[in-house]
Amino acid sequence: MAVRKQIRCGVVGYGGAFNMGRAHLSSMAKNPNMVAAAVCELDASRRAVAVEDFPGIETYARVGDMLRHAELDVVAIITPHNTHAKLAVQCLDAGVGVVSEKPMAITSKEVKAMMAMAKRRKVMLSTFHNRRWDGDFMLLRDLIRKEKIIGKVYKVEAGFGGYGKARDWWRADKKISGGAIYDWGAHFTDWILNLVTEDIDWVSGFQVKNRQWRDYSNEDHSEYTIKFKGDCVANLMISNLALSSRPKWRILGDTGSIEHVSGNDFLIKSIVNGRQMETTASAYDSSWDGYYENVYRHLQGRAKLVITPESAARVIGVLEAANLSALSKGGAPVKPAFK
Amino acid sequence: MPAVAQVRVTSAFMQSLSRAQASTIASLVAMGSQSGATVMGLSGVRRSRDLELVFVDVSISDNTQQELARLGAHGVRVFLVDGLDSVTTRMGRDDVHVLGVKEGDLAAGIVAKLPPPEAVEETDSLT
Repeated sequence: MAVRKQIRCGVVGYGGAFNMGRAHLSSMAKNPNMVAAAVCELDASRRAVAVEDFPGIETYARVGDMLRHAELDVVAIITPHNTHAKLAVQCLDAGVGVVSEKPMAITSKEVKAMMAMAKRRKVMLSTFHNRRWDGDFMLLRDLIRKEKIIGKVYKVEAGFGGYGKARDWWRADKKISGGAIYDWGAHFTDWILNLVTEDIDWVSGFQVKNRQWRDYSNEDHSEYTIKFKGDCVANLMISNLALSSRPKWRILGDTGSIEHVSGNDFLIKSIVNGRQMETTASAYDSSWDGYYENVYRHLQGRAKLVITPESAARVIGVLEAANLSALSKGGAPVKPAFK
Repeated sequence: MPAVAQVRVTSAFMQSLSRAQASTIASLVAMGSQSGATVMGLSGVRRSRDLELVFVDVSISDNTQQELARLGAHGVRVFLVDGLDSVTTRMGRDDVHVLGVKEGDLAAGIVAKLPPPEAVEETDSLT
């Protein structure tokens, strides 16, 4: 693809729930060379909102029309999870780079189709794992991978819990969302796979549905265990059925531990020259615009893509394997589609 | 000339440390600040007699750098850090430009993470 200084950006999906369409275009447009050029949205009232948000932006009701007329370089797909793959393949096939909202898709088959089309058309494919720029994750990555303050990591516990019925909408519909673990679980899985960089051996899943909450199909408690090849396990729990929770992070290494204690603070314990020492560290400032800054620099040929399709695909491999394992009732180990 | 001699002292006893190298010891130094194994600031370092390591930010004046480099003659490893804030920010003290670590387990732990001492040539000695 020829390098263009100005990148014309579009989004597919401008729903009002979290205003993610506006968030994507706003983050892109912080770079004066990334132009918020087009929005595709079925709902006419939301198209009108897009024009209010970005005066002069082109709006379309059909993706094909936008791809034919808007001369886009990159499109962000911000639609229900089960539509990511089909829309991404359509955009990639038109020669337009794609940023899919997380999760990249639901199944490894979909992900493989997306990656194959990106490769065939030689265009960028990425997933909006902008939380790779979260301050707490960046701190943990430095502590573990740069400072090696806890030695070799052998156990990661992550996630959160609470108690309450989910809202009855598409995000709670398992066929559309992929399951409860595909929402925040996608972020946590991306984080875990970037803290522990070993290949994955197997994944075991366990899910519980509150029998009283039948008006949506997502499970209410999801957890999985990843067994890495190098004798490390990671356990993720995402629950709206947990009256008692646990720290967002507890990470054990052979010479120390890190635990999220409150707010932005982590307690770090380490054996230093045979003696136990400890300190607290606060999360760095988050810099979510780092995602599109990297995409821009990548499209200019000046930087490697941080969120590669391969790294986003590994997340889907884990989530899919967790679902398959949970369905087996016994939580049998499942090898994910991507190591 | 005395000025030339002073420059030689600096090059002989101060080891350069990049920002990236220094950042790998941020948590250990923070642990030391809580256990009393670190000394913050120039005056504290001047008063201490049991230091094993001293870290000096490049922004410190040449005269002070040369003064601290002389600690090397007494067995203290002195590092000139290109961005000491990569260490001190973790403790909420990015105003600190000179940092000492007392002899003991913490210093040993920090030494294990740092590059080995650079060879000092005879011609760079105090003579």
